Amino acid sequence: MREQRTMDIPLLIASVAPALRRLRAALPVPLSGETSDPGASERAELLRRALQEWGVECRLEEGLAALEAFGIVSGRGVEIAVAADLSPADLALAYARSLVRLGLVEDRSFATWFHYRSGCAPAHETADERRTMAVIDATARALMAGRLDATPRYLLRASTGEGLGAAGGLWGECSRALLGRLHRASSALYWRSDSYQALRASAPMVVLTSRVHALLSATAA
Amino acid sequence: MRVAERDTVQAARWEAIRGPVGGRLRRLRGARSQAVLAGDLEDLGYRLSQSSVCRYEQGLVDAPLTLERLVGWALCCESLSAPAFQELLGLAGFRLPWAVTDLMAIDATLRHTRSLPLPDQIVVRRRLLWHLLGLEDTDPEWAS
Repeated sequence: MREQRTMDIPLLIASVAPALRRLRAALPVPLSGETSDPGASERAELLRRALQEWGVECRLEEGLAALEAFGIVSGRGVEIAVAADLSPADLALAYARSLVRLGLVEDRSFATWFHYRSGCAPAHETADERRTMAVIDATARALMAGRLDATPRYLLRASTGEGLGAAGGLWGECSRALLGRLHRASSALYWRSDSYQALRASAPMVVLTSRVHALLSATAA
Repeated sequence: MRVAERDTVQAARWEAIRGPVGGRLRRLRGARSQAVLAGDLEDLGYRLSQSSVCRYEQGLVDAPLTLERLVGWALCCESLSAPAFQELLGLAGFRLPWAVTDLMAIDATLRHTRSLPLPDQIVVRRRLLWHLLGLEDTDPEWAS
């Protein structure tokens, strides 16, 4: 078996988000009552290509009845299998959810996960699994819009202190610690509350969190 | 050693172990019926009938059991981490490059997928089999 590659999924997500945002911006303004999702095929293809380029084998599987997608991580590699009969919009969302899920998979030699079609989740699904899926779905939708700023900044990172930069002096240390706590609290709330997920995605909150982050980061640097 | 000599040695070895192998295959199957197991194996791409399953368990099959069949059998029985499977690998002289904890995780995944519709189960099992063996059922090396 080949050595398992360490993939920086948050970096992959961060690198694909601007392309998705550009794609969205380039779309024509939808006409009133239009139900089609222009650009869905391009988004799905962009996500699939990004995953493939980062070493994730993407397979379209015929015949999946209850599953929208599933993933396997092992010493032979990382693969995601997505139902072949999904519409372009659902396919793009399935890839985005799978990508976000990969960012949450613990670093183990073997792991699997399952994403169910709407209404097909098994009765034995736990509250934790439902909560995780809600977070994955919210983050995937933010990613599809190219709006990662609508989710907590370090949601997918093991340590919220990562990427906060080096502290300078006592005031810098305090700012850095405060920033870390704010990000941790935001991530924790995002995991627990649907209302906070919606609030965090609202425009005023995005502006507020960006400004707080910029202010405290500048002080911490 | 020439091919004919190797073949004789392997046949003699299989003759010596096929009884104990059969007993362990039976233990792996547990409460699952031979028909269900044969059906599950067929879904994975194996050409094993119910009577073949029966004959393997009774140690009556002349041809040695391949690693592919052994792993497929344990996978369909969700028994990759069972002591009987480890004994089988030892008896047959095979080795799987997987930790027991990983095999336990695969068994747990397989049990989890039992609640899925059959087509989903088959797709997941086929992919897990690939991860275990590195072989697709469309590969020419695939042992039927």
